[in-house]
Amino acid sequence: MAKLDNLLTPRGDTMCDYLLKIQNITKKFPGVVALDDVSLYIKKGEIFGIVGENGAGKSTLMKILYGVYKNDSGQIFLDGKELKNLTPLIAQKMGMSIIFQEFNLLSTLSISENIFVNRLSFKNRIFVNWNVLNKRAEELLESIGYTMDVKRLVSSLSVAEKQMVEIAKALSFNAKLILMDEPSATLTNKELDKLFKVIETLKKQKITIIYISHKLDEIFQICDTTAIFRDGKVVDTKKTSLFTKNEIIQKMVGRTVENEYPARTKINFDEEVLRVNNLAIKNKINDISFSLKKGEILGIVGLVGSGRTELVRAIFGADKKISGDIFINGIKRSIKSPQDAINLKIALLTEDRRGQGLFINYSIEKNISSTIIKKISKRMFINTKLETIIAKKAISDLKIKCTSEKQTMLNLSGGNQQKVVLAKWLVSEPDIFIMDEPTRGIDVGAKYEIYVLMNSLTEKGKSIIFISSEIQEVLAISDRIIVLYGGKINGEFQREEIENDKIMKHAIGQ
Amino acid sequence: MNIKNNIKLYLNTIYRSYTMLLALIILIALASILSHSFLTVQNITNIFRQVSVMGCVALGMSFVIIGGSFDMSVGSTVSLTGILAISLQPIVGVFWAMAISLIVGVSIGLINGTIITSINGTQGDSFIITFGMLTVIQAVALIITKGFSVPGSNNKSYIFIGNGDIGVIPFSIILFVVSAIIMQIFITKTSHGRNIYYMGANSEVAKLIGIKVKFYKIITYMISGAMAAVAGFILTARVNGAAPKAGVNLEFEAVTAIVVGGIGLKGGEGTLVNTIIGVLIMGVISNAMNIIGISSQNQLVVKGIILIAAVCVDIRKKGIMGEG
Repeated sequence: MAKLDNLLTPRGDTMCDYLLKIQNITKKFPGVVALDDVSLYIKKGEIFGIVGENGAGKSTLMKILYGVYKNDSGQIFLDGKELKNLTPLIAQKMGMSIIFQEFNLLSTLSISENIFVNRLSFKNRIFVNWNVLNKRAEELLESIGYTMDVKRLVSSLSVAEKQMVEIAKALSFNAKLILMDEPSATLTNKELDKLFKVIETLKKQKITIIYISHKLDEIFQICDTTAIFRDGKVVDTKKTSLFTKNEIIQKMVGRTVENEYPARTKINFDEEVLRVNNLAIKNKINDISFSLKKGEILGIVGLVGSGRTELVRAIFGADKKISGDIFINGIKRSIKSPQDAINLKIALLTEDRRGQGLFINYSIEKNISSTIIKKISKRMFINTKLETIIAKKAISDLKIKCTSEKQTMLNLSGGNQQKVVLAKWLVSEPDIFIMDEPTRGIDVGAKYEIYVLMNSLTEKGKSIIFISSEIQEVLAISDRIIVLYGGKINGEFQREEIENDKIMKHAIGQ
Repeated sequence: MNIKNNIKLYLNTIYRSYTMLLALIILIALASILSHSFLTVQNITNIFRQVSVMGCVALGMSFVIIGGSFDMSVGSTVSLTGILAISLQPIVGVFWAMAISLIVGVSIGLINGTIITSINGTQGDSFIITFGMLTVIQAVALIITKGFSVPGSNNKSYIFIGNGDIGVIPFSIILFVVSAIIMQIFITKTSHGRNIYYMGANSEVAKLIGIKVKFYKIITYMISGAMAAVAGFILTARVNGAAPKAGVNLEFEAVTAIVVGGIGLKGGEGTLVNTIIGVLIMGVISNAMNIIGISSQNQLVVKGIILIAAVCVDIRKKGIMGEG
C-alpha cells in the first residue's frame, strides 16, 4: 500500500510528510461536475495556496473537507487516518478549521464567548468560570500577536479583527490545519500585512494553512506550494516560486490573457453630468464636493470606513444626508429616495451582492427584469414574453454562464451573479452608474469582462463612479481618482499623475 | 443538455407545486373510504361552505405573508366587522353597514401597515404588532357588544351572502372562488403583484431598485383587512347573527392552511393556488373529523400538530435547497 501511495505522489516525497491527503475526490451536482478526480497532497506546516476562477470547485472542496457536502467518490486522509462521515463538529475535533468569507461568528456575543462557543464551561461544570474563559481567550489572541479586550462584542469589531477571532477559535480546537477562504477579500493593505504576519506565526507553530485567493500577488507572497483549479480539476500543482504570474493566469482561465486590464483611450471630458456640493452625512461624511463628467470613470479610493459606501448611498438616496446639493446635468435636484435617483437615471450597484443586489432565490430572468417591471407591463399586466426576450438578450450580451434564463441565482458563480446585477441595471438604461466594488470576489476572467463593459459604457456616453479596495484596479481603469480619508476628500488625481504609493499615502491620511 | 436541464427544472417545479395537491387527493380518498357520506354532493358543498370564511381570511393573509410579514390581527377583525355589518343595518341600511365595515377592515390594515413600516419593522416585529392589534380589536368588539351576541339581520339579500345559492352552488363559495381568481391574477400577472414578491424576497434589494416598499407593505395589510371584512360578512350572514368572539382562532387556522399549502413563511414564495389547496386540505380534515365524530377539543389538538409539522417541513425544505 505504501508503495502504491508513493507512486501517486506527484512531488516525489514520502507519504508520511503529508498532513492532508486528498485522493481522487469527485463530486457531481445536477448538471455539473463540481470536482473531477481531484487529488492534493499537503505537507505539514506548509502554506498551500489554491487559486482558480469562481466555479472552479474550490468552495466545493472546502465544503467537503468540512463535512457540509459528501463526496461521491475518493478518500481524505488527515495524519494518515481516513476521514469518513465528516460533520463540521467532527472536522473541528479532528483539528481542521475553516474560516469562511462570511464569518461564522455570533455578533451579539463577546469575543471569548465566540471563541469557546459550545464549550463555555470546562471540565463539565455547570457554571461558566468567566475569569478562566477570558484569560484563555486572551492567551489565544496573544499567541497570534493580538491584544484585545475579549469582553467586547463581536458586532463592534472590524472585519480584520473578526478574522483574528476566527483564527483564535480555530486554535482553541488545537487546529492542525486551517483553511482560509478568500481571507483578504475585505481587508485593507495594512490589515493584510498583519494577517500575513499571523499566518507566518502559525506556520512557525507547525500549523498547516490552506490559503484560497483570487489575488495572485498574495499567493506569491506567502504560499509555499500552489494548486491551480479549473472546471473542477487540478490543472497544476508545484512550488509557487516555480510559477510565473502569467502562467498561473493562463492555467486558471485556460487561455492566454495578454493584459489584466483593457486599454483605456483618453478622451477630453467637458460636459458635467453630476455635481455634488458640500455633502454631509451624520458622523460619516464631512463636506464633500466633486463632479463627474460625461463618459468619465471616476475612481473613489479609500479604506473600509473612509465613508465611500456611505457617500454613494447618500447620493443615491438610500441613506439620509444632513446637507448638500446634487446637480444632475446642471440642474439642482432633490434625491430623497432610490426612486428619485432612478428617475434621474442613476444606478447603484451595491458592494453586498447577496444582501442588497440580488433576489438570490429568484431566477436570472426575474432579477434582470426587476428594475423595469413597470416598463414591460401594459395596463399593469407584465408582458412575460418580453421579459424572457430581454433576459435572453442580456444573458448572451454579457455572456452569463447558465443553463437557462429560468435558473435561480443561487446556483450561479460569483462572477455570473455580478453580471446579472450589471444586466438588471443595464436594461433600465441609466446615464450614471455607481459601482461599489463591482469586482469583489470574482475571478480574473470575469473581472476583465467587467472592465471591458465599463469601457464600452463610457464610449456610449455613460459615466461611472467606481469604488474598489483594490488600488491597482482603480488606477488602471479610472480617468480621475479622488481619495477619501475619514469622511473627507484627501486628494484628487488626474490619470497622468496617478501613482500607486502617492494615492496610498493619501488613503491612510498622510 | 440544455433541453434536458429545462425538463428537469420543469419537473422539479411541478413536483414542488403539486405535492400538496397530491396530499389533498390522498386525503379525499382516505375520507371517502372512512365514510360513505363523505363523497356526496351535499357534503362537498358543505365543505366549501365551511371553508369559505377561513378561506377568505387566508387569501388576504397570503398577500401579507408573500410580502414578507405576518398579519395575526385578522381573527378579531372578522369579529368586529361582522358585528358592525349586522348592528349598523337597522341604522344606515345594508349597503352602508357593509361599506362602513369594509372601510373599518381596510383601516385596521392601514394602521397595521403604517405602524410596521414607520418603525422599519422586521417580520418578527410584524407578528408581535399585529398580535397586539388582535387583542385591541377583540376588546373593541367586546366593548361595542358589551359581551353579548347581536341578533341577526332580517335583510334577505344580506342573508343570501351566507346561505343563498346560485343554481346549486352556494353564493359564499362563488364569492371565495371569484376573490381567489382576481387576487391570484393580480399577484402573479401584474407589476404590482410582482413588486410584492420582490419586497417579500428581499425588501432591501427591492428598496434599492426603486420599489415603494412601504407603500406595498401597507397595501398588503389593507387587502388582508378587506378580506377579513368579507369573511365577517359571510360568517354573520350564514349564522344570521354576530358574536364578539366569532372570529377567534381564525388567524391560526388561516396560517395553518397557508403553511400546509406550501407558501414559505420567509416571504416572496408561493401563490394563492397554494393557499387554496391548504384551505381545502384543512377543510377536508375538519369535515372528516366531524363525520367520524372527533370532539372539537381533539380536533384542535390535531390542527395544532398539523401547523407545527407543516412549519417543520417548510424549514426542512429550505435547508435541503440550501444556501449554496
